Amino acid sequence: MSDKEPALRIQHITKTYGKKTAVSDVSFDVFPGEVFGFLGPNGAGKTTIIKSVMGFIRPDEGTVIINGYNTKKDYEKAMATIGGIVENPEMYTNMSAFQNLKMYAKLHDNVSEERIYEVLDLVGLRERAKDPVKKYSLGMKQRIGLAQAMLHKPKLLILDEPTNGLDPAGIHQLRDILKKYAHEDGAAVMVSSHLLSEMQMMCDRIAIINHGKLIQICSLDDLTNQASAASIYRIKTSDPKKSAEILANTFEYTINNINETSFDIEVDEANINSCVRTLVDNGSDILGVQKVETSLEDAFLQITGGGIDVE
Amino acid sequence: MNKILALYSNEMLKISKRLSVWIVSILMLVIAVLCPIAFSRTESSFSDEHYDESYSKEAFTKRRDSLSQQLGDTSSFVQHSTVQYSFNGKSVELFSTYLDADEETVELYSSLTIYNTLLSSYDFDKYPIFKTWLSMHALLNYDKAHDELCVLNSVPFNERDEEWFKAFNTTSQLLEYASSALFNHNYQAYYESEKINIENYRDFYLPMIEKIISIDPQGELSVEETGKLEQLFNKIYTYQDELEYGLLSEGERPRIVTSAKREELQDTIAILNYKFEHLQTYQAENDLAHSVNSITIMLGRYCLIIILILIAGSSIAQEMATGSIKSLIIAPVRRWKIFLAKLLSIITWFIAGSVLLVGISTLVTLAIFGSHALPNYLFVSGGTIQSIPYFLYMILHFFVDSLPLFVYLMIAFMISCLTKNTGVAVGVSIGMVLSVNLPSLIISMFGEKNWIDLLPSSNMTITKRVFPFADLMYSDDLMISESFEITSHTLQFSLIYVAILIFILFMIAYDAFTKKDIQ
Repeated sequence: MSDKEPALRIQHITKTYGKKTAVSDVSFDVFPGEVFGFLGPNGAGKTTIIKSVMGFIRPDEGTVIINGYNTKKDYEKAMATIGGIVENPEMYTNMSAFQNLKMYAKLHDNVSEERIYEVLDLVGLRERAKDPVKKYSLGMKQRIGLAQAMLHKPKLLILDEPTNGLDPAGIHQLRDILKKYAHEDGAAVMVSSHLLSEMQMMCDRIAIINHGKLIQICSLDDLTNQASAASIYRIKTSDPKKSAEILANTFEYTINNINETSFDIEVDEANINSCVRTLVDNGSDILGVQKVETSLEDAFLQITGGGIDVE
Repeated sequence: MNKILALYSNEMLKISKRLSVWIVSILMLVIAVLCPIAFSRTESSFSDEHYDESYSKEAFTKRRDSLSQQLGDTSSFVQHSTVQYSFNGKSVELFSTYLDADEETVELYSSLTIYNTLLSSYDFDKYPIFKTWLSMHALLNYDKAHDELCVLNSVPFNERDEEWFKAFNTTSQLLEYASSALFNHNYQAYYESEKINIENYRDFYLPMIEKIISIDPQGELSVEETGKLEQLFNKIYTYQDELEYGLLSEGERPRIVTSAKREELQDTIAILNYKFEHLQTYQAENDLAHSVNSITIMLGRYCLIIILILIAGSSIAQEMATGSIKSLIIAPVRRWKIFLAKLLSIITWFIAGSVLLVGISTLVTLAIFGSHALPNYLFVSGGTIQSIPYFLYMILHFFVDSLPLFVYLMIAFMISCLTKNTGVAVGVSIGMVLSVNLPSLIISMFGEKNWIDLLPSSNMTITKRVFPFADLMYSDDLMISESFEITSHTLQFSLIYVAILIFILFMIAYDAFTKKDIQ
């Protein structure tokens, strides 16, 4: 993948609002032909980065290069190759979807009227294209937003939380559209979300961001391997300190949160049994073994452990 | 450039989709159509020039008959004789008349003689007496000269001395000219008669007659029209006086003529002379037509102000508030192009609305009053009189008069760029329109006139300085205005002042919009 020129290259982006740092020194590349996931909890800085790319805000530092064009020097050329939705798709609600698309098309070179119908067909809104947008449901607005984003066949498509308001069938359809656009049409697609499950189903690579910092970039395969490999179990024993020591001496699993009643151990499902057996063999009284439900943020921090370097 | 055009056409489309804009626009057009109609209904129609029946041949015949009945046989007091007079030391023999009667009888006899002469020799069909000013005034002079002559003839033969002879000679001469003026409808003879008529020998009267003859050599103008020319000439004369003595007589107290005012006076005189020569005298109907049109445009302008402030105030703020600005930001266009397109679309509505308002109002006025009621604007350039056609003048006048409106638009646009709040942008701008003269009023209460001149409101109203001769289109006077518009600054100062003001507003708006982070 790295032999291709990146569709999006972000270098050392930093943006502060007053004292609060929204994004701190973030760099990454997105390549043609991949669906790139941008994962993080709400307020992590995903939207700020996307807005910096799309020209909504000016980063304090850093450069954004889109399909070879630096946004500071060749703004219009750079923006001509990018399409997207930021937060919610907002249209002129007293106009029809078709009029909205036509107005947008005029701002691009070489977008024909047939292309407008083509994208309307793609998102399944051709029948309702002449209705004013204010009569649309949130899901329909999402679809028309997608149609607008793809109207000029951008080489880089950026969608911020695109599944908001879509029903399960709509989400499924969206996934298919985005995968096809990246894998068959060779475009770069970047999708942000705070849901891992969503990311898993469509992304080839995922960047994880939290508190304005890039935590990790990994391929989906790495992520699923790690996710399935490592689960956290909370083991309650009469003497957690001693029990943890026994396990640490026996295995190489990561052990955390040792307190007076329990400790956490990171171990895959297949090996938990041998852990328990070892404890029993060494005379620990096991009061309970529980698989820990973690928040998304915790889960990712647990999964990645900050161990893999950002490329 | 293509991008700006595309953005611009999108902006126009967006504005055209707004219901509020259409409602107020339609209201404006309704005002433009209905106002002139309503105003013209309230005014009574103008009566045609009336023809005084008492100057007809029939009326003269009636009066002659009753007079001749009253006087009976005139031969009882009229005596003719050839008398010797001594004049300049020479002796002259003259056929003379003596009227041996009292003053009243002499007067009646004079009238009877006049009626008889008129009825036998005057061509009533060709020159109806009350129809033209010349006939009327020639008759007056003829009547006066004849009466004087009869009074002279009532002096007995033996009392007629050299003094009498002189008077008789002069009066005969006057009668001769007056008679030629009356019967031959000859202006030049009238002029000669006025030359002798000492009583009318006011210092401006003869030049005036001379001037009237130059534009009406055949004496075809009516009493009314020539009367207006007299008024006009009177005005020119007054202005020339003011120019000569350097003092303005109008207003509350006399004021010294400044060099700027001197120039204005010279131009005014030139324009009034032009109007005189082209018979563009005061017409009440024209005055009404123009007033109706002006009031209609003024009312319509309020609608236009609301439309434009709605558009300007919401153009960016509303898109920010609803988030639709995003589809513009995502598009491959630089922010300044978006800014420019929005500004251009506002200016386009401003121009289109103005032309539409002035156009329709003027057309309706034209339909009601007729095209003659709408004269050209006259001004002096390089020593010659130039004219601007009425419609073009009204449009130009509207734009110049709307300079404050343009400033308010820029303010609304600026606030629109600074805030997400359409309400604030629209509210503040309309508040400014309503309170434009408030600062001047407050300051004028404390009597600091110098400050007022530096306020924006004093420098935004430049109409009077751009079109100083607007009043002359309908009246013979330049109204002396004591309003805020009279500042001590020149037009150039105000124009530069307003240009800087607009530029500052523009830069604040531009900077705010192009550098703003869109959240």
